[in-house]
Amino acid sequence: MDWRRKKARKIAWERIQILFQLALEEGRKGNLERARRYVEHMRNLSQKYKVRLPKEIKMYFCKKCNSILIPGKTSQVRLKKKKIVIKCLNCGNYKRYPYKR
Amino acid sequence: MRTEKNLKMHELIGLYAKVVDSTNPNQIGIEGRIVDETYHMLIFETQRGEKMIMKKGARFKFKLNDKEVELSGDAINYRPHERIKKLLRRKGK
Repeated sequence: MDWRRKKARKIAWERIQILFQLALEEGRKGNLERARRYVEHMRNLSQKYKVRLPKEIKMYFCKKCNSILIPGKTSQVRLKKKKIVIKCLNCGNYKRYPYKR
Repeated sequence: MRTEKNLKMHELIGLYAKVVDSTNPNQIGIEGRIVDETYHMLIFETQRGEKMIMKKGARFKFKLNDKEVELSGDAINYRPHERIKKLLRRKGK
């Protein structure tokens, strides 16, 4: 990888972390539309510069409507059939993650 | 880390800034926290509500941990996620 792409990825990763923190803050305050906008910026960066989002970030936003998922506020978390099932309360989309016994 | 050198490729949302110069004289002197960014606009959160300010032809002063960085609006007149690529390419030439 040439230095330019390396540097671009480094900056993109830093920006993703900043935006994720901001989105969480705004989501907790209740400005959900603004939080959704920050998640959109974050995903644009990751797609443009091919930065893989870690699982800890991926679990906290909805892939369908880009809203931030805060358990108990904008998402519902249940354990069903050996899977963690997360429901987005904005659009009703489900995420499922299996867990080992 | 956001530094003076890489600020124009870095995240502007969340920083405090002031409009030093603009093509619209009413907008000069507006200061506040940047809450959103589009291709042509920066959106400021001030005491009198949210203000949208054109990047083109303007100059901004950003507060970056007790330092002040002045940037020209024309240098950041791109989509937020395309700023890194465009500006790095220019530097290499």
